[in-house]
Amino acid sequence: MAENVEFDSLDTETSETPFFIMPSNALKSLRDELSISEGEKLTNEMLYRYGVRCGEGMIERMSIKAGSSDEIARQLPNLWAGVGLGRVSAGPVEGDDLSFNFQESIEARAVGKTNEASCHFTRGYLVGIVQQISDKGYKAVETACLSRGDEACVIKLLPSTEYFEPVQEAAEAPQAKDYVGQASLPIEKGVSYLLETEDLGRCYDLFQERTLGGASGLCITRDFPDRVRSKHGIKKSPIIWLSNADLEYAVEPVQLGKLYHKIEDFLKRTENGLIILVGIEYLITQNNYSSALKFLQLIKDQISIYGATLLVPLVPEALAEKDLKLIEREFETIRVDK
Amino acid sequence: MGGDALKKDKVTTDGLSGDPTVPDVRASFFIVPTDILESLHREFAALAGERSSSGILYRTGHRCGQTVTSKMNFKLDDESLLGDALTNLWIEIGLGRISSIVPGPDGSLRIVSEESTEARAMGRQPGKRVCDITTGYLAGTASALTGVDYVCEEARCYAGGAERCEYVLRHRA
Repeated sequence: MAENVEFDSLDTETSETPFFIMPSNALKSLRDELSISEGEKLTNEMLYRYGVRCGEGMIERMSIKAGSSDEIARQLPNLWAGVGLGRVSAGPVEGDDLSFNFQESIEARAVGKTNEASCHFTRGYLVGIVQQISDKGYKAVETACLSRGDEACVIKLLPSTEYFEPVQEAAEAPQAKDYVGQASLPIEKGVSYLLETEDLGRCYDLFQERTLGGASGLCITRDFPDRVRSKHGIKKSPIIWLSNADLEYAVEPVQLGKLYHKIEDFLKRTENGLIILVGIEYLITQNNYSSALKFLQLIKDQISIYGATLLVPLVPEALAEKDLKLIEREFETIRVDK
Repeated sequence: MGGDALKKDKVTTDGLSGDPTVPDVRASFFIVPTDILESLHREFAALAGERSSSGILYRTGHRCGQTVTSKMNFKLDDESLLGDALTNLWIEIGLGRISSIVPGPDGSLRIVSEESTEARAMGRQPGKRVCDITTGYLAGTASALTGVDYVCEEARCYAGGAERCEYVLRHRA
């Protein structure tokens, strides 16, 4: 562990044994099993996300911060020694870019020979630790890997815009709008709402109104983000685009797990969260109804736990009656007229 | 760990290098914060449905238990010592604390865990039994210790409302 690192006093129920032991070949088995059912790409991304979670979880309990790239490079090898994923040394620091050499990546050795870099869990773990100690966003690229015949694994960390902190829109007085004859929709914390409407603009307006009123917003949408910002005045709130485009702010619609992870991340970082999910119909068609419903149920639980609010606009006619009823049962349903 | 009930076995070598001088990295362990268990459960459930998710997590736990135990080179000569060995090993694993193990008339073991970290990570979910990795881990550990194939089921779960988790470990039929 790093010098002078101390564990905070813990008040969670899991505090007494916050870690358990996992052998590297169990990670490989998990990777293999997921690859069969989910395909290689999804599996690699999942392992990466679990790595990020682990890295963050490891550092959350320590009073440790690093203010500069040099400091990160200095502290990381000591922190990494406690992880168990192999020895690491820091490479040259170039501005915000960091580089780490893994002399014995146990993930690569567990995976064995492949044609591509394989240390996805390790990459994620590294990113999780560095993000947590620096409060900055990073992405990790493995430029050399034992698995594909390189002498050692090398992982570069680059600043990322994918990582976002909740922000508030300008503190302006919210303008009351007329929805279904009321001054404004009576939305509460800890509740998930289904907004049955054919006018998405009204739903965006409600989201914007609430973020101007102090809520920290996250907009997840099928609509192109630039257009959403210009048309609906959402200036600062982060937007995740539901799209197959290869962009940092896009999430492929079939990646429900990744989307869930981003939502969970957002909720953990804010006390007054408001999420609007525009395009549930698109998620249903790109996955299947039961996966999308399960996804909504899981988000709803998180919304309750974190005392946030979820808005899900939906055109009722887009779904079969039975499917609509099941979703309505999960949500507080509000009719938003034109 | 495990006192006299445990004995060491042979060491194997690394699969990637084939070099017997290189330590077997498949024996390497890393630490996983228990907080991640909730994310794992939820994401697998979203991805594969709850039933498949339980299966994946159980098998992952099984592999963990099997590997941790066998790579520590522990074996039991006498299966009747399994309860004691499990209790001692479990302290090191980080998935809870075994407070009692009661043999059943059918040869099964009823294991009571006071602080299942998996159940606590998942939070209260009335009526549910969530300790998939833990039950797999126990079955894998018992199988590796004895050389006999074990399965494990959760009978009561802290997450589901019970005071403590109870697992039933038995030979695979």
